[in-house]
Amino acid sequence: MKPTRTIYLVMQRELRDRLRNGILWGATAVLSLGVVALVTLPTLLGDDAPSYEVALIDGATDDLGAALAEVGPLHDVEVTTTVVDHDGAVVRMLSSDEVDAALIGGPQLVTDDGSVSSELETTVTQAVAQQALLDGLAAEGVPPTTARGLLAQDASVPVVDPTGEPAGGDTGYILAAVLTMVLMLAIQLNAVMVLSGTAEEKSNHVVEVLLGTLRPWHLLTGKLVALGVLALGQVAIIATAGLSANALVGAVDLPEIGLGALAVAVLMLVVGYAFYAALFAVAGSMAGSVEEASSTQGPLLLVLLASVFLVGLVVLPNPTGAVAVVMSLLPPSAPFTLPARAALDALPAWQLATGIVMTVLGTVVAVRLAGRMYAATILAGGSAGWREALNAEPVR
Amino acid sequence: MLELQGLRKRYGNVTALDGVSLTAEPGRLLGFLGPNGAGKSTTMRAVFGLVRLDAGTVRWEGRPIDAATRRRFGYMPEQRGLYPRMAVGEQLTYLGELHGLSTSAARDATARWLTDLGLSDRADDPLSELSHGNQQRVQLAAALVHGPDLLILDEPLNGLDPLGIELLGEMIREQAQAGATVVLSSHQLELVEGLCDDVVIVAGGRDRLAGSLREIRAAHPDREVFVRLEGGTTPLPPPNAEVVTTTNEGTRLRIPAETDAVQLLEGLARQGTIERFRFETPPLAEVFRRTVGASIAEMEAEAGDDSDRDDREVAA
Repeated sequence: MKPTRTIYLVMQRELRDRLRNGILWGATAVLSLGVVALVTLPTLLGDDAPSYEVALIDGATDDLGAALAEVGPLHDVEVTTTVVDHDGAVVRMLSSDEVDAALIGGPQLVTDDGSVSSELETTVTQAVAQQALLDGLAAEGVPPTTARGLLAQDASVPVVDPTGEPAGGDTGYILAAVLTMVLMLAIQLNAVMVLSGTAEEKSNHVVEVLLGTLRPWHLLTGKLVALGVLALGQVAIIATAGLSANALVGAVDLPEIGLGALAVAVLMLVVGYAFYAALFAVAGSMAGSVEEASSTQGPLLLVLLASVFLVGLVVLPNPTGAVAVVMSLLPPSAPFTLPARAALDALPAWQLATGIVMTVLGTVVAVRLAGRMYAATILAGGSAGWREALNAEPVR
Repeated sequence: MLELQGLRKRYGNVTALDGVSLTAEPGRLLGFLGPNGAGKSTTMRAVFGLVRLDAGTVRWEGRPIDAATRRRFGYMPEQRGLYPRMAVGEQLTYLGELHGLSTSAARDATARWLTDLGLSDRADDPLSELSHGNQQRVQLAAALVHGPDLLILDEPLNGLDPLGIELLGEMIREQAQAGATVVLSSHQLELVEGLCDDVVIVAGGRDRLAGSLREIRAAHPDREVFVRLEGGTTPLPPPNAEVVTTTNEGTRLRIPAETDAVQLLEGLARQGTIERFRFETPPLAEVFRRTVGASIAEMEAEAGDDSDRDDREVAA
């Protein structure tokens, strides 16, 4: 019988076993809902821009109402106006909360308690300035329609990197954060499943029966491939949910860099999963019981979580810094760093290529080493430490 | 034919195997007998390459054992192990496939074994829902499902009730009768006495005695005689004989193998009317005691004392 057939049989059993496991489906559902919420909630909640009712004294501010309506959306607020004919009415309306503020001669902005939100203050200040400018231009003979046309021109300034490429901005940042989170969870959840499965097989002694006919690397490979397929499927479901939600609410336009980052993320998911899952399998094989596995996995979990935290704390705020570059080249951290930097469009091609090569090579070494350590510890009675596992001779 | 030659294995300061050798032949059932800790499980694991031996050879049909050969072996380890949550039928089919059967052949063999074991209605149940005895039957079926040429069973009758012992014993016996080479280990000699064709006695990591059960018993220097005199009178043992047990049923005497049976009978008849008189070959337990110098129970108790003493020393 060819090794591929043996590995296929092991993989098939693992897949069946895991697909019947409610935890897998529960975790996938929770992750999908989380991503959908992350994509949709800002948009849905963002539609409720704060609105203000502002009272204007009749005659003194003829065109100010129009200016406030124009400027408000620039600051994510909606301003409507009510014209009153004397100051006494203003005081009454403020005290009865019919209006949020009143703009009186001077001009001055009056509120009931003397405080005002920064966006309304900015809006009113800009509207007053704009109206003063229009009044000045009109005095110089510029027709009001011409002046308004000039002011309405798009004056936004694009943000680009030193090569002139547009920056990712908020969309890139959100994408980077989402990718890091999804990669961490997909890699960690499935690697921990490899760990618990291995520890279970050892503690209930079924491994003695299996290795009576299989070689240890058959068992390890079948297990890793099965859980890897599940990790990919899990991420595909989560990504489909996120992209579908985005298509429905139109939260963000995924730029080209977003698609590139997704491709890097898929590659890093495969490589990162293989790296961590193989080592988690060793941690499982070192444990004398399933409970003990929670302590043997400690160092690995620490490295994984530290990598993710560093991405959040250092790489996302400064994706081109020295720490980000170093983390892009190290196999334990590159699976989380490379996709995040790609999403932020802060990953030069040479660093991407070098990072991928280093991570793939590191993963090959880790998987080979893990295979040897697994074969040395899975049949040993009781538990073993990492140093012991490293020095032990594989059985066959 | 399975041939193990000079197997040696040390774990730190502990010698597990100190030159164990044995030969098991097709169509015969070999009892590999000794106390716990004698090296039986290590020897059996060595057949499957589950132990890195310090020295010695393991050969099947004159050749070293490779992966393809190993697939033709069936193994029931001492520490039972199958997947608790996996359905019984699915589990047996999986193991059959791992041993090289096609999926359909593995399914057919699974159905056949489950029917033979009276478990066909439990095929879809997870193993953990079966009783201990039924789990043990499934474990044996897991070793048999692919129709192995060599069957290695490590303490297969441990923990079974008398009915289970009879059923599993019969199934194991049938395998040998069908031509398989069967090696069965046990530290409960009375359980396997009626099963084995051949015997290897092992103690302290070494084989001490090997041969067919008939030859071994015949070569034993003592015989046992069961006698009952009328009225239940306990007979006085003749010279060179000793009383082994006395019960209401009668008296068991141990006599030298060369004792003249007629003279013995005449001597006993002078003490009263003989109601029963039976010459018996010595039980395996007696063969073991004579060979090793202690009974299995005594050796295990001594090992337990040593272990307790070690524990106390470590604690101190």
